[in-house]
Amino acid sequence: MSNTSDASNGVLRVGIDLGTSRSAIATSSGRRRWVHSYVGWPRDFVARKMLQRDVLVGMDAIEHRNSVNLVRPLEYGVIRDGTSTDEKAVRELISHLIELAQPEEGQKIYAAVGVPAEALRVNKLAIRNAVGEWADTLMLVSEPFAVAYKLGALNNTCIIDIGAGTIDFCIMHGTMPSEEDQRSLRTAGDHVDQQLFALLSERFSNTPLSETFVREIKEKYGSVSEASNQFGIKIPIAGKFEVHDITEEVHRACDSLVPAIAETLIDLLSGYEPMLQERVRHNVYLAGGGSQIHGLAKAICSALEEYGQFTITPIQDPLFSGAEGALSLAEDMPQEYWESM
Amino acid sequence: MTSRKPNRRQKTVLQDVYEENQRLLGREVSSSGKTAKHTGMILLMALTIGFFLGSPEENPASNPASSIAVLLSPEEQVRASLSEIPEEEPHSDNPALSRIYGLSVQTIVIDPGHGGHDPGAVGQAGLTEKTLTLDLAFRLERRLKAHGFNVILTRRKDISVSLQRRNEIAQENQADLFISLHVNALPVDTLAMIETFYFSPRGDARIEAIAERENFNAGYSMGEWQNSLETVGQTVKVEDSRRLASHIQRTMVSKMRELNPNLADWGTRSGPFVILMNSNVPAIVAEVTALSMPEEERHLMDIEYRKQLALGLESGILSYISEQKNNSTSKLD
Repeated sequence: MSNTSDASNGVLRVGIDLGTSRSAIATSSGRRRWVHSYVGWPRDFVARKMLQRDVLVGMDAIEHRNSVNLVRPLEYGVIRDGTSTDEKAVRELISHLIELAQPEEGQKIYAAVGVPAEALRVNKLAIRNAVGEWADTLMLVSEPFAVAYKLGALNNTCIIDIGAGTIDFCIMHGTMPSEEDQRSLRTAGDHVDQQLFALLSERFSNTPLSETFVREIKEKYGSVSEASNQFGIKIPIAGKFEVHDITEEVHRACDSLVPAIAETLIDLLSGYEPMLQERVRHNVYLAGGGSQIHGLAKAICSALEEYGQFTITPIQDPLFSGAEGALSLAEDMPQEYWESM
Repeated sequence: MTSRKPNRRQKTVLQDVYEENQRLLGREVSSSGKTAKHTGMILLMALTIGFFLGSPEENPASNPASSIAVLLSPEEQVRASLSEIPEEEPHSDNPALSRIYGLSVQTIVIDPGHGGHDPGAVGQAGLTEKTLTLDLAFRLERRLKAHGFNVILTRRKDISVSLQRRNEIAQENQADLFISLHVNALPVDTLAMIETFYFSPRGDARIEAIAERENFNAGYSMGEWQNSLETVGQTVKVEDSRRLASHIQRTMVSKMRELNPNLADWGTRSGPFVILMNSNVPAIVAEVTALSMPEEERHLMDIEYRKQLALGLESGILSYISEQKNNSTSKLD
């Protein structure tokens, strides 16, 4: 369990959420920080001289994307290719996060790290090696499990973690979820970005749009048709800024998540005994950045109407819920467990 | 920092997390949660002995069949094995169900995807989807026949058959189930997955792309296609198809992960597959793996791997039929 004398013992416990789009850290000293999960290395000696550093992380890397080789190591919810570049990028990301946690000199780091469920299954050793370089001792868990731990939703619940690369489903029934309790979908946040990009590019064919711009629109206005809200954005047409209503395009892109989530939830649930199914369907939580899409929970409930009533709740503070959950695990984990890892 | 005491349930999961991470490090976990320190030494000894003795599967010289096989291309190897598919024992957990229970499912139509001038997906080493699906169809046919089912294949050799004709074959033979076999191809070569589909008029962009590929050589005119879409809700047994897909997906994942733990489970989804559109019986498309991943293509050249795929499909079909039987019995009660 958590140890109030950690500081005096020279131990800093940290919870890390290693996400496809954003990664976050929460520490036992009360710090909470996040970064975009991007790492960049200067393309050549000219770029290195201009940037004055060997590696850039987060927004720093995105802003200098023309001068660096930009990597998003968990782009598809797993370390791509198992390449050394992506493993190196995970190392840099972790190093940066731990730097943001500002451990005192000589302080030991006990880290609990939440990673996308698919990465935990496929790349666990690679991630362990990448993280292990910076932590004195560490434990890996799946992201939805970390969220469930934070919520105290360990029994008869389902966590749907809507990330950028994957949507991870996890049924909790009082134990650590096994592979059969989890499912990953590749139709996730990045898929919505691609849809929205295609729809807006078709409509504003003479205006070059960037992926970053489209992602910002989604994060700001993301909503499904069921939300029945309206919004417009300023877009330059032939050099002149005009306000255009893009409600339909945003709704269409976000709606594309609904059938995928509804079908997978039913498919996953149907493998359990009826009593558990009945309980779980009233304790479904939406986590991750995608959970903030306006009206999504209601739209999923509507899509599931023919299967009966569901209660789906978007969680509070999705950006830090994974890291906070991992931190709770790190704090509750008995000292003897840490020592033998 | 706040100090709080984990409750009993939290303690259980904390122990689970700890044990799982110990396993990740290759440490054996005893029932009391303590690790066996000698595991690494045992592993090292086993590896050393294995190195000196060698493995018959990895040594072509000790296996005449494999020394011949290396002269053939992957595609030729799989084709050569088509005529040699032995009679296989039915899945031991499921004796001749159709005879024992007099089940309503009598005729199962298996549709090996693609064929003839349409190879479907093609792996980097040249293995084609059309050859793999035919191999699997033969294996599945023998397994299901052993349970007493009447099994019909929509093609028995490397020929082109339109999707419309495949539907007609199912209808002419009064199929009770329709299973269309396919192998996926992804834009990336690092992933292989199992995914099972049933019909809906629309799917997301990724599924529509898969459906577009599998809808090649449909044989329907635009008028017929529109007409079919309008009437589809009246004929397709969506809920039954979803359940069939769900059973097959679950058993496929479970069986295949025994041989390849890295296969991803992409679940059961719906999409606009022409081959499923005109079916009036439970019908699914099984994308049993992906040929775009070179490592998976190598696996697929192994007969044991293909046998396991057929076993996964067979188990899923039997599991569905068994559930149907139980449901109808409980309704009668």
